[in-house]
Amino acid sequence: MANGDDSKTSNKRLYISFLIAIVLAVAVAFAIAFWGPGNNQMDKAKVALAYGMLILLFMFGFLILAAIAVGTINISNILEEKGPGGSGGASMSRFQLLIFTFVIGLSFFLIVISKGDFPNVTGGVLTLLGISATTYGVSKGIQATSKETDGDGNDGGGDGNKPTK
Amino acid sequence: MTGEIALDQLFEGDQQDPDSETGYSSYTSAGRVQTFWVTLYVAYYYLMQVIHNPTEFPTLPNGLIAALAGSHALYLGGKAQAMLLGPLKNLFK
Repeated sequence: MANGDDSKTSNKRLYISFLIAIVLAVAVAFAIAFWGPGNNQMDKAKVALAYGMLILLFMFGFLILAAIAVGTINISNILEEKGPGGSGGASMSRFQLLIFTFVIGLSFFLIVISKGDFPNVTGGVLTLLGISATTYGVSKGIQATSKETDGDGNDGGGDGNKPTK
Repeated sequence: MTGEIALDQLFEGDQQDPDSETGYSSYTSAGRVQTFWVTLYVAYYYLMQVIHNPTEFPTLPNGLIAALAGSHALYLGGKAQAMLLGPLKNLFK
C-alpha cells in the first residue's frame, strides 16, 4: 500500500515537473517574441517558436534523465524478456539494439560538437541501425510465434497444458 | 540511481524440451555468445572511427557489415530452431 502511495506521489511530481517545463518554455517563447531579435513579426515568431521548442525538448529530456536517476522511472529490467518457459533473463536482441542506439547517438553528438553543423546521415548509419532493429523485430516475432504454438498446445512439446505467457 | 541493468542469462536461450514441465528449458547459446562479441567489436570499431575523424559518420567496410548481418542471422536462426523445432539431436531421433 505504501509503495502504491509512493508511486502515485512520484507520478504526481513528474506530471507537475512536465507542466512547469511546458509553462517555462511558453514563457520564454513569449519573452523572445516580445524582446527578442528579428526585424518583423514573422521573424520574431519563428525565433520564439524555435527557442520554445528547444527549451521544451531540453526540459523533457532532463526530467526523464532525472526521473531515471532518482528511480521514478525504473529501467533495471529494460533488457529483460519473458521466455515461453517462464524464464525472464536479459535478451541479446534488446542488448545489441541498446548498444547500437548508444553508439549512433554518441557518434551523432561527437560530430555535431566537433563540426558545429548537422551531419549527413549516411547509408552506413541506416544499414547499421536497420540490421540492429530488424534483428530485434525478428526476435520478437520468433518469441510471439513460439508463444502462439505453445498456447495451441499442438506444437509446443510437453503435455499441451503449459501456461501461456 | 540504482546503477544496475540486469544482464542475467544474457547468453542463455530457451529451447523446446518435452521432458520439462513447461515444455521449454534453458541452454547456453553459442549464437548469443558470438553475437555479443561481434556486436561489441563493430560498436568499438565504429566509435573509434568517429573519435579519429569526428566530422562525418564513418563508412563501415562491406566485410564488417556482412559479418554483423551474418552473426545476427545465425543468432536468429539458432533461436528460431531452438524455440520452434527443439534441439537438433531431437529432430533426428
